[in-house]
Amino acid sequence: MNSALTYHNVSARYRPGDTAVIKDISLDIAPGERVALLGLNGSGKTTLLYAAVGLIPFEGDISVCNVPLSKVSERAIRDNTGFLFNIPDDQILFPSVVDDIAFTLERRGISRVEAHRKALSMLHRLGIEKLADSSPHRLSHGQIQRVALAGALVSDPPLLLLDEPSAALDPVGREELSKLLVAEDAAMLIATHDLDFARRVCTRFVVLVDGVIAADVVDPECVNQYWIQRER
Amino acid sequence: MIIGTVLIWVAFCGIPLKRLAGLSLYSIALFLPCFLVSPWLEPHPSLNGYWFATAGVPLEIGLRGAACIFICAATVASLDLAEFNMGLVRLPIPRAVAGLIFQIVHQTAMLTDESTRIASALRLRGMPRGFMMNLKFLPALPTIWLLRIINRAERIAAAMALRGFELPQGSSCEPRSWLDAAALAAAFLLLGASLTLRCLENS
Repeated sequence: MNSALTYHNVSARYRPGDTAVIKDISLDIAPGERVALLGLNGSGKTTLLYAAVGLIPFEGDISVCNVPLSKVSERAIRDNTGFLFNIPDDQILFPSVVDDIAFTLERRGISRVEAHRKALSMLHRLGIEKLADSSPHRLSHGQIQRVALAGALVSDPPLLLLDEPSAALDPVGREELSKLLVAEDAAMLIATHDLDFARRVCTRFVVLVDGVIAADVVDPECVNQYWIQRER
Repeated sequence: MIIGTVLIWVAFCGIPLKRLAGLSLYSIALFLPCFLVSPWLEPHPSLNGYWFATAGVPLEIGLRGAACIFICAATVASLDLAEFNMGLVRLPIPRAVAGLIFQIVHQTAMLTDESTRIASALRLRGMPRGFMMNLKFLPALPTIWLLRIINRAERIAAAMALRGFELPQGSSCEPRSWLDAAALAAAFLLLGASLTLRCLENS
């Protein structure tokens, strides 16, 4: 069976001996499926995303595009995944916006000229082509968020893992981002608190509570109900 | 001559006065210890035992060292990060070294920004200004600054691993123009000339 991302009985902790942050998670995401990962602070959303690309040790099995995650396959899996960190400043490694986005392509063997052309085209799609030659130090948080997102999208990965993608965006930016993500073919796992954004982008809603899956539904109204219950 | 050259260089680079004052303080802090041994140095008999003659050697070390600091800092201050990166990758040095130097400078700039933000937040939250207050505040720094920096370094390392930022091997594949070659030749010529002058001076 084709699958973009599979967790099978996955538990993860940051240090040996610590309590597991996610416990016995099993989840399957089909190619092209857009899944919202909802939960309160500290429920394990970011940890679940980190585990999918081997950034933290885990027990159980994880597969990306049917390739089991291991030390050997880790690099290939990371190349097949677009990742947006919840603090996007951390993933900008180059002095100009266009260089940073082009890097993702250059390290896959694409020529510098072609990589820059594609990077500029991606900036255009996100409506931030004016920032191409800017230094990331001088950008607002929302602009950095879009630059980091451009870096994640530019290689057309089959899987996108997005941690709070709408967090720093204004309402117009959020609307534009939701349209952009809906138009993408990639499977997505989006960790977010923004229910409205999740409803616009996703077709499936997974709720994490204290590191375990408490709900996995397709009807956003069910999530809404659940959310209100949790807040009480 | 050294002072004149440094002044002209710094003036042409247009480094702000505040930075100049900071660099001066840094140079003093770095080279002042050299003068602490002066009282125990014996002056050359030809100098008739003048007390200041013993300060000649540390003075020369301090002056040359400070000149290097001023010239390097002024040159770097006149470039933005993109230009600095371009210059680095066009040098005939291994790409791994160029990548490492660039990331050190780039991440230092990011951490400086972060430190500035922390300082602004502290002022906003009512920390009074002044040297004594800063001293009182020093013991708290490891918890608010160092831990934050360490956490950030861990997050950046994760992002670098994820984005495949292995330091590239081999020399730079960046195309070099005749201007790059001329700049390199001029740098080597300058080094050769200064070494020759030093040899002539010693003989």
